[in-house]
Amino acid sequence: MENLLEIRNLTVELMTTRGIVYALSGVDLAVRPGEIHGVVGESGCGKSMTAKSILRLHNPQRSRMKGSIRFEGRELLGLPDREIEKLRGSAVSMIFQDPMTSLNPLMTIGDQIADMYRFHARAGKKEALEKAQEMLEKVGIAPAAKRFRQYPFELSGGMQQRVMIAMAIACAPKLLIADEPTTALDVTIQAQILELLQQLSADMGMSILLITHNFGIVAETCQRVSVMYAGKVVETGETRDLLRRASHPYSRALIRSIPGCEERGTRLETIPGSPPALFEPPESCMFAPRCPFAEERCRKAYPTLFDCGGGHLAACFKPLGKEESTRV
Amino acid sequence: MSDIVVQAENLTKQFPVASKRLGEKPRVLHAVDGVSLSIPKGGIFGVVGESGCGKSTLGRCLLRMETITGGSVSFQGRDITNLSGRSLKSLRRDMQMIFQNPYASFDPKQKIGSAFREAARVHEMPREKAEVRIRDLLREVNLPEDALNRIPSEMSGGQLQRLAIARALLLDPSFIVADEPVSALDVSVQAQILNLMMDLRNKFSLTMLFISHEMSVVRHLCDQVAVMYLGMVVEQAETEELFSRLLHPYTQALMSAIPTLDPDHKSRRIVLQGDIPSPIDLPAGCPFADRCSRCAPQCREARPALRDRGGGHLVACHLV
Ligand SMILES: Nc1ncnc2c1ncn2[C@@H]1O[C@H](COP(=O)(O)OP(=O)(O)OP(=O)(O)O)[C@@H](O)[C@H]1O
Ligand SMILES: Nc1ncnc2c1ncn2[C@@H]1O[C@H](COP(=O)(O)OP(=O)(O)O)[C@@H](O)[C@H]1O
Ligand code: SF4
Ligand code: SF4
Ligand SMILES: [Mg+2]
Ligand SMILES: [Mg+2]
Repeated sequence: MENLLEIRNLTVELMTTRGIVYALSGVDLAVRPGEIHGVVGESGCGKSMTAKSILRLHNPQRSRMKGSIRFEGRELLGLPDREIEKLRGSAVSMIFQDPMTSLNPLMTIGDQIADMYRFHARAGKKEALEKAQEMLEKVGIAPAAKRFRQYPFELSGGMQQRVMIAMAIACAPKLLIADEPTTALDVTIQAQILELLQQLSADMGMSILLITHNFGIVAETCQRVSVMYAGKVVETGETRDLLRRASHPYSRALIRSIPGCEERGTRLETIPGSPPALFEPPESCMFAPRCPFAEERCRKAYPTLFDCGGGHLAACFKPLGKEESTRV
Repeated sequence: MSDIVVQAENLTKQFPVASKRLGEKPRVLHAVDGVSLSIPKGGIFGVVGESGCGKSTLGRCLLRMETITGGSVSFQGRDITNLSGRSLKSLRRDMQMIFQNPYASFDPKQKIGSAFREAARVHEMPREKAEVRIRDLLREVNLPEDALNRIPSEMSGGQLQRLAIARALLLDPSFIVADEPVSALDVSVQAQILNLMMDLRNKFSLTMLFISHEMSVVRHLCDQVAVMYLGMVVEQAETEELFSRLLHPYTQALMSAIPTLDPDHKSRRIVLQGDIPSPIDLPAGCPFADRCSRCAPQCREARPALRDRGGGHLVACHLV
């Protein structure tokens, strides 16, 4: 199957006052048409940076990008900024954790959606207003005619996120990048938003790159998942398969530290140490200092991807076998 | 009973709300509405519920960081409902709070060590004694002494949260309110903190109110759990009992909304419609009526009382 989005060996170096930060060091990621693809990992591992790189939303002056980002077969990395701007909000759009940072507090939500649509679809005013109303209905904001005239602060967090989604899908994008879209919401509202995203993906044939730190969300909403650690994708595969037999020691440890499966009051599994500071380019397995299975070669070279079968890949010299992998 | 450390009876906390129009009758926000609980020595009492349901306010009332609108709070057998001034201050050393965001609980420019020493000084702990105690505590939370020379931004979230716990233990308190202490942390770090809390409880028989919006965390750590909705406790029981028989429709929906690794879990989900209603101008009947799929006519008429359904399992629902 042709991939909708294909990221190959993407590196992003950021120039900071404390030196170069190797934020991404060779990310490989492929999103298929119509799928919801999860990206999980602990904070700072590069999830948001990967997402922002696609639409060039990070500060490009102070960073250096290498590798390849192909969208519908077209290489994005060398394109002029205005080409990327054309893509943004039309074929690829993005929503964030905190909707208020992206909504204009002084404009009604109806006008905001309409304005955005006029800009990207070059539509007339009347058409745009109709579109805005249609979109509000589509994301479950009812009654749309009344809500249309409300300001963002009059809405709950869940409703604000629905408005963001309405705006993001107005131009029927092929890819929606959702960076922790439910992290700030309560679980009952989170369930509503995830349901909405799944329904939209199915109805519109839209792919979603769903960034989260919650494995439970991945298990329930994503067909495939990529696990990131220290600026790299360390494991990728079908969600069910990866959860059943996580092959990379990091993915396995992460899954095991989730409370809920062990007996109450027993000690939870932890990962010793903390993720590395990213001030040096990686030349060995970045997980080696914390990995219980590390051996000499892990500290000498970066492990290449090991094919566990069925599109399940793990960047590890000694991927875990089925029997010693996750519970479930 | 003498080993009860903290007890609340019908505790109520209301906040006044600014009226929208002149001459309108003053309105109140019911943050905590008639909560009763008691926590024995060494017990960890969990409070779960969604944002705004009154968890933090309940915790602050137990610590008497708020004035109490109604009902009573007692600490180690003494009524502290109306304490003020000096007697309230002396209570502070015995009761501590740990917050969600460890970076907000430390001054960003102050070295960790001086933050600890300041806490000791405020409560008139002798200097030498404080130094020894601080070093013991660092060992307890598994951090090197060198941490004392650093500023908060040089620590990770998990390390800083361990320091916040250590600082809370400095005066050897008998009661701690932990308000979402692991919610801002990654799961692997969260696991470290939860392990630490279990160790401390076992070692020092710490008594704790543990506030969280995460059922799985509360289930793992706590002995008793109360589920709150709009300021009220809708279900309360011992942890094993509660999770083996979720009786209240809200608890059932809340539990089913949590994404889990079990691929079949989702098919059993109860998706609640609508938002959490406002705690201002509460309806007369059941607070959950607007979102409850089992809502019957009587639910809108009278508020269901919290009643024992056997074995101390309390539920507030007309239909259970
Ligand atoms: N000082 C205050 N003045 C007015 N209203 C308040 C005050 N403190 C809390 N409230 C209100 O009381 C209710 C309960 O708040 P509380 O902070 O206890 O909720 P919570 O359950 O801790 O929520 P969260 O999960 O978001 O922390 C909310 O509606 C809140 O807006
Ligand atoms: N503006 C920035 N300046 C310096 N470092 C940054 C900046 N933005 C991100 N980083 C670093 O890049 C890495 C990846 O960050 P990010 O993609 O935001 O992580 P995630 O979304 O997975 O939590 C982290 O080490 C982070 O500290
Ligand atoms: S390559 Fe070696 S150190 Fe890295 S995860 Fe695999 S076994 Fe562990
Ligand atoms: S009392 Fe009625 S509305 Fe309230 S939870 Fe029970 S069934 Fe639902
Ligand atoms: Mg991020
Ligand atoms: Mg709170």
